[in-house]
Amino acid sequence: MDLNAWKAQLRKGAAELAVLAVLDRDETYGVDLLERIQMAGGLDLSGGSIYPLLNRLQQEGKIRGRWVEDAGASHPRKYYALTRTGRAVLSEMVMEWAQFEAGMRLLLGEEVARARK
Amino acid sequence: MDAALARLSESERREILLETQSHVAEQAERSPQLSVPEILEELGTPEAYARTFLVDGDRDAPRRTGALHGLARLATGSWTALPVLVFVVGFYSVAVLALLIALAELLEPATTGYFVQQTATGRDISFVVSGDPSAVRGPDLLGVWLIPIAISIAVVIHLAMSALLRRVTPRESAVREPPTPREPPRDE
Repeated sequence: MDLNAWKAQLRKGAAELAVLAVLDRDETYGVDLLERIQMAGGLDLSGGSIYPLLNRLQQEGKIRGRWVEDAGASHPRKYYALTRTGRAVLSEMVMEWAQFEAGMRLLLGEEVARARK
Repeated sequence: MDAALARLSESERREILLETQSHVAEQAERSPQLSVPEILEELGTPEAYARTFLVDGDRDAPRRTGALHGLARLATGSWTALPVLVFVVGFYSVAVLALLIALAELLEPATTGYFVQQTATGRDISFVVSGDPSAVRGPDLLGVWLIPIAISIAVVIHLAMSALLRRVTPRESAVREPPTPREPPRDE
């Protein structure tokens, strides 16, 4: 089994949820979004993957972007925010995630405890 | 990168390039020890990075590639698309005419077709679509074969115009915001 391919698939699915979750709290721009997700750990998102993802989410109407001349930067930044559709999608994804996590925790409880020792 | 994104609309392409520039400027400010090539390296090669946008965008975006959708995109597009629109509408008019001829042949076979009349000076070929039997002179050259021929012409025109519309209309883009900076950030 190709563990790297499996990890990539796992992270790819979760990346959309992570982006929507961060944007649900704050309107923000690519680098800041990337930093927040990287600080949380586990997802391994990079600049090369976050912008195509943001582009797709915008095309799907889940987020909207606007260019801003920020006082704190010498260059314009594109700020992203959740749309109403995005908020509804996030709510459904969070419910799915909670069920998934609970199921996996039940299934993998012993293995996870053993791996952490 | 601009060339690799050629399949996207002009506004979407410009948006992606501007955001890439903004990303590089942001990272250069945050990490002065990094050079621009090092920052760009994180994004991957320009071609690979551009391809990610195409793959990610195409995978889930609804694809509407029908001829009617293509015509609508042309009709609501820029003035530069007008010659193509006229060309496509012209050919579709021919296709509709061919279908009407096939219908006329089906309903009025005796008075529709290519009729050949021998005259003193040679053969006189006339195309007739009429309910009037007096307009018909001589035997019908094609007979019922006019129906499949006319339908085939209409189908070929439709296929050719659909292929043309797929090539000339850019992919659906949801990027609508102007790329120039305007407003201060919203406080939340």
